[in-house]
Amino acid sequence: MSTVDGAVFAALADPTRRALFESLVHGGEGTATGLAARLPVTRQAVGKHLAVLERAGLVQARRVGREARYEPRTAELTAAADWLTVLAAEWDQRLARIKSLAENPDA
Amino acid sequence: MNDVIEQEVRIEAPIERVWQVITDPAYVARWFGNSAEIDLRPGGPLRFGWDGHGPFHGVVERVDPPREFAYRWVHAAGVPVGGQSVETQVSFSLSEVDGGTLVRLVESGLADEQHYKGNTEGWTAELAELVAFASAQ
Repeated sequence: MSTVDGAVFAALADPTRRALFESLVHGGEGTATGLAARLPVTRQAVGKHLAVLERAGLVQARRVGREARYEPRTAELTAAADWLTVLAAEWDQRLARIKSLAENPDA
Repeated sequence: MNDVIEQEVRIEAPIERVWQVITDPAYVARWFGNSAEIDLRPGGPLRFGWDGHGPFHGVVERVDPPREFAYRWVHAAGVPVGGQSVETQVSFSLSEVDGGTLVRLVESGLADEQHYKGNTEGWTAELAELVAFASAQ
């Protein structure tokens, strides 16, 4: 039995947040103003999306002067990918048990 | 990285027997968790228990004996269906083949549009690229 925090999937299910996160992963770090200039989204909307990404553990904010700089954090994303691999392996085992139980009524 | 799990297994047993193993709680407790309660009708609640965890809640979505059984379940202990946790749909499709039974299992919905209220099409493929990129750093 394995579980994962749904916040990562929920955060990245939104295309704008995905674009923001991708931009940060490829660019290293960024500010809300800088990201808004690169994407067809207002600075205010970028701020809201970054807050969701931060709650999901996908970005970390760091204050530099008057503006926050956002850095991507990939550990949560990797954990989510690992979880899917584990889920698939769990089904391998479950289906094998179903097969065994169905084929051996006395087991 | 794919958010849909699809697997098949061929079982040398009659379809009714396989249906029983997949839907009877006494059997389910032997292949999925350690205890199970299933109200086998659309909308019926189900509960899975793992020793030291649980209960994990779910709801039956489709029942068509002995061919199809589908349910939605929450991947977090104690959280009701429709809460804020990850939920997936599991479906079993059974068909008779050459004296045996073919079982097709699909678990999906990690990127469920209804659950997350976002356009999710194709995003897992993008994630795969991101994971690869991030891993290479």
